[in-house]
Amino acid sequence: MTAGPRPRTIANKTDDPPADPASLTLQKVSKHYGALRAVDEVDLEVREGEFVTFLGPSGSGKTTTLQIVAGFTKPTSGKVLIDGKPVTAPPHKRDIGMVFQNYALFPHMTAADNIGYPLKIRKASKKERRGSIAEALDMVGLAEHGDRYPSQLSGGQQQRVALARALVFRPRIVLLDEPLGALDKKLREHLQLEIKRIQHELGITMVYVTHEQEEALVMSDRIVVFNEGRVQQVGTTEQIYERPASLFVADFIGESNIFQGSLEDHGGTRYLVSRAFRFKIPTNVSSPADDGPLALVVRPERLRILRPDAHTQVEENTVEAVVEDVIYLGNERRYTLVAASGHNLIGRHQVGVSSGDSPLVGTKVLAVWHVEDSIVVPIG
Amino acid sequence: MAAGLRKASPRRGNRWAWFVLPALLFLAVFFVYPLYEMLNRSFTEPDVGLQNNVAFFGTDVYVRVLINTLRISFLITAICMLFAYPYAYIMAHASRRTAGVLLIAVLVPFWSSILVRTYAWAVILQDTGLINSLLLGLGLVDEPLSLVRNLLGTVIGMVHILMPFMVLPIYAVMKGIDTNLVKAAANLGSSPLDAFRRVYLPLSLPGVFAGSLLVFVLSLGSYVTPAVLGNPDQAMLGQVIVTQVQSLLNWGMGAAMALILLLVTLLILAIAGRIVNIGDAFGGRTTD
Ligand SMILES: Nc1ncnc2c1ncn2[C@@H]1O[C@H](COP(=O)(O)OP(=O)(O)OP(=O)(O)O)[C@@H](O)[C@H]1O
Ligand SMILES: [Mg+2]
Repeated sequence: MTAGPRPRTIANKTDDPPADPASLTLQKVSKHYGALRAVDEVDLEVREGEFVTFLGPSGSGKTTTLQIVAGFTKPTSGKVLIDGKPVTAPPHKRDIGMVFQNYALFPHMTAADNIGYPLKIRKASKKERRGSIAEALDMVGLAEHGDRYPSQLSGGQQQRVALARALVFRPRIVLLDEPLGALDKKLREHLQLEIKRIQHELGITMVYVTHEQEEALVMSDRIVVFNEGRVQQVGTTEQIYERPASLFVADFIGESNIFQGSLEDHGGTRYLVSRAFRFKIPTNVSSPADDGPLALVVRPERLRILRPDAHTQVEENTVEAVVEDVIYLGNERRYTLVAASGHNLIGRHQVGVSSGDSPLVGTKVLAVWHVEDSIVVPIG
Repeated sequence: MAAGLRKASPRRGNRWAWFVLPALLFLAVFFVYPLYEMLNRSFTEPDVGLQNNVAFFGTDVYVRVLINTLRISFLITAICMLFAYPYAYIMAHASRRTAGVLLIAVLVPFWSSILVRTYAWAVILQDTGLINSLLLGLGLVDEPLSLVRNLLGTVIGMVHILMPFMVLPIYAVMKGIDTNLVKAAANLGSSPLDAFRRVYLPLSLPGVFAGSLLVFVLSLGSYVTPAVLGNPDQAMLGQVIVTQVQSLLNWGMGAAMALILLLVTLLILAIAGRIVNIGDAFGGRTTD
């Protein structure tokens, strides 16, 4: 991620529309359960061969949206289009692969038979089937486990069988609902790469659900951030991280230092002001239409931690604070600070890069960041 | 299937085990002891020896009764299955309210005496009964259909009584089938019928099996219903046993017949046990 000035706008909800033909389109798709809006007017275009991740807290409508695309849930309103044409076909004619959140392996079939199921339905010859099954088992690292029943496999192994089953018939669109949730870090990372490789090789359009933001950052071409059934923001990893459209996105993606206040203009310089602080904000932040409250967000890695008597620039915001905790994480140090205003602050510095000694717990420091590193977002 | 994987856990003393003691005592006094008495009589009355059993298998009529009993029980089981499967399916997939109503409807026969129910059927089915008067009144038939005092009567009565034993195990198993499995099958290309045939049906079979076993075994020992609604010339073993004991006072023969019925039942359970784990079939299975 590059430092330096960037253009900023408030609430840039719609990022550049995709140029390639859309493989999958959602138009104002909603699903209501009584008063609950599980999915609320979701608009989305996924390009051919694109890897899009749905990221959002539990209950934010990710699974429901996938189920609508797969045809298992009828939307209350709105349309789903594949290759520009509205889809009305029943699920079994959609040619969309899906990895279910709870795997949904057939308990009365072995892993190999589970994987062979879609091939059997498509009337592949026995020989073809055996080859594809072996290949798929190999891909997910279960070559030895083909004759096991799901009840004889661990959660992670079951998840990998489900993955192989969804990919083996080469559908054009694959929906993956937290397919790696039950795996340990190493296996997860291995399969992340494997999924990306397959997706790339076969040019499959993938929609991937996770609530692991790191996974989303690693894998996605674009990320769709969900909250309470609504799409909060669609954008590339960098756009989401560097230019969050709302406080929710800024807070949900990555760690943040957040200050809430309102905009004030003093002789051409604009500030975010509250009773406790007054921070300069970048010049290109446009005023919110409704004059509502704003939040200033600073990423921990943008926060410098200096001695209290350190000399600072005009173009920097400063906060006096006390070091509450320092955690050594191998490649970085993580500082927890308490500002005089009562705000809790987080700083993260790479070990060996930051100059000077690391401040000790209990000492007074100055937390400093460049005005251009302030992200200003609307609240709510 | 998973049995091979289950580790034989070292059996630690379970202090709750003592709580089965009253039940065991009850069974010992009211089941094992009478059973022993019966066994005893079949080999001792009127003389010590196998003469009762020899007589049973030597008598054409008795062997025919046994075969008839098996045949009727099989028929009852098959018909129960045919009705119960869709019934249980609807119950398992309906809203809670509908499922509740359906459950009560199937349980009603449990709440009334078997005699009352059976005589009620006799009244409904007889030549001057409800059904025949209706059919005659509407001019659909010229003379009353014979609905009772024959195989049809037995089957109608028995199916009604035994329905819950078929519906409930099937329902229980169906309730445990993850709805995502059928979705997954559809997602992988199966039409609804195909998904049912390849996924839902095989997964619901343990329930069908359990229900069939119950209904078949219960049919084998039936007495009241075939006696009231059935053809007196096509008696089932239960009826013949009662005749032996009550009318002929031939306790030895009656006991021998009861023993043979018991052995046939055990044989069927043993065969069934070889095909599937009976514990699984009766809901011992955990799906996770
Ligand atoms: N069949 C249903 N009936 C009623 N409410 C439902 C139903 N299915 C989902 N919901 C509700 O819709 C909301 C969205 O659920 P959904 O499963 O899409 O969330 P999710 O984003 O996938 O969450 P998670 O990350 O926990 O899987 C939740 O509040 C859920 O309780
Ligand atoms: Mg979900």
